[in-house]
Amino acid sequence: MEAEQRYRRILRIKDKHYVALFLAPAIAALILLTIYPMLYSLKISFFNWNLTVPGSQNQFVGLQNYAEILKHGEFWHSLWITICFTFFSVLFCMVIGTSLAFLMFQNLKGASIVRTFVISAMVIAPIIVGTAWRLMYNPGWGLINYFLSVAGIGGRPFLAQASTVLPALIVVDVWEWSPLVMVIVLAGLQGLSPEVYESARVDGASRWQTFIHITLPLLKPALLLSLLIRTMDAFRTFDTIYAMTGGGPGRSSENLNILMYNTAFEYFQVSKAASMALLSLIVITVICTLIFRVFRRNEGEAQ
Amino acid sequence: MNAASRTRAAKVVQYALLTLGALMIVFPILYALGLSLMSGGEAAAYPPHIIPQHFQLKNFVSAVSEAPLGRFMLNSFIVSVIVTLAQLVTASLAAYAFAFMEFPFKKIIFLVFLSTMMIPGESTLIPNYLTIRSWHWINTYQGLTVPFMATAFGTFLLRQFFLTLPHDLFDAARIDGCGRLRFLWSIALPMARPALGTLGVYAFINTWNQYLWPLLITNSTSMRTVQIGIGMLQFQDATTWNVVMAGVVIILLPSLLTLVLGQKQLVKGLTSGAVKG
Repeated sequence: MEAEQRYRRILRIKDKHYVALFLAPAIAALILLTIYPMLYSLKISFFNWNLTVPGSQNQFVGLQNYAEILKHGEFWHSLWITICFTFFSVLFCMVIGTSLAFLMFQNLKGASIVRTFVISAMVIAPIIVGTAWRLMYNPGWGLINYFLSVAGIGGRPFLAQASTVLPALIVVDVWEWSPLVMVIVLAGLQGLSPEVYESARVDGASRWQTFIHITLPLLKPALLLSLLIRTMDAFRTFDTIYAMTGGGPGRSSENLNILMYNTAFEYFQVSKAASMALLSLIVITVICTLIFRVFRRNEGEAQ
Repeated sequence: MNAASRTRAAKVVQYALLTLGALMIVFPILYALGLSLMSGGEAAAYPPHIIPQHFQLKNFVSAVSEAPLGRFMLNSFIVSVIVTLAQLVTASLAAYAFAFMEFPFKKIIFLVFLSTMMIPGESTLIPNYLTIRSWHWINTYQGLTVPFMATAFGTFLLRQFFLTLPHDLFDAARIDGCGRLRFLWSIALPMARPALGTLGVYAFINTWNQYLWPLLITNSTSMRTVQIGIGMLQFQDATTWNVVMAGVVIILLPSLLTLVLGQKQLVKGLTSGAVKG
């Protein structure tokens, strides 16, 4: 008995070293790669650092960067672009992805092959997606304008017009990421137990009633997860837009990330860009919290 | 309409929708493949050809010889493998600690861990760039890999998996004198193979597809990665789209291969948390 206690005590002391050993790499990386950079970013945002101006990193300006950003139109313009892009992209992704998931769930023949093809859209690098779609949008000989002209609709340079560039980019994002929603919702569907449906049928519920009152509420976790992931990702889209328009024409597709990139690496105003990054982090945090709240409240009503 | 024919009609509609959806998604990929097999003249023809009339593999040769695609692929491969291995090591160690060990502030540390998962990479882009630059790590493999060596998502994934392992197993092993490291190496990790596979597939594809970070952190041809190579190709002459697409197809192969081999794992990773919430 005593021997065992002593043995356990020794183990516990040895454990302390092991905890340190096991946690150290991840914690060190975390501090170095996320916590320290966030604090560093906050610090930079109070200075007037321009990469091309030596010594400017020591010029303390307080909140001036934030004041300037909020005063000038470009930030609000980019925020508006980002929100429009995110809203419509996420909306269509959710509708199309969920519909595809329900289709896949019907035990159709060949569904698993289709699933592999559908998922392949997600593993393609965004920069490649952008390149391929830019080609299809080409006003001279791109496929999309060709199809439109066959259908009798006049083609247009979708990516070069301020009025069409955002919808054109949203189409690409929806194409690329609806499969993700499909995969998540399908997993949610497969996780539901078939008995629930059976008892609903026994109780005489119609298909539509079953869908609204049973399937959807049970799918809530999967829907919430895909909604949150998609919102965060659409909000931070960079690669595809950069490859297709670079934020143009003019500034008509310059979302927050492109604006931040240009500010930091085209105009070298890293302090200003750091302030923008922090502001946009606040915005997306608020949006996600709101989504979460709305879902939670509905849950409360249902009970 | 009787019930049987109505079900059949519904099935037909379902199949039609499924086919349509699949076609819409696959079409751009097949189109890129088609273009990569066309001659320059055919690729620029109007009305555009979708299926090449004369198959030719010349574009693949041109793509490899025009841009240093081989070098780019090697770089991407080295970077992806290093990041994947590092993430597997750091995540399994940390996940093991969170799942099996007791230590002060465990809950808080885990919560901080999770919350960093929500911070988008763009928020740390500028400070990390400045740090890497001040360490003179521009154009180095360290610069490309070190910032991605730990993963909160992977740690979470593995921890969830470890928690499903029976605790008795652990006690039994301990009483037999099995140390922490040996338990992790010879019992926990082999059992966690599916979760490790998920994290591996996920990490590899993500790193392979990276664009923004390598764009910032490299500027010499010898250190560029494949995705930057595609960016370089596309701004050249408009009639060389077939060559660009050949490059795209070459670069896609590793991702698609990983997908075919690890589809199950990838789906599991993407959906972890979807079922239980």
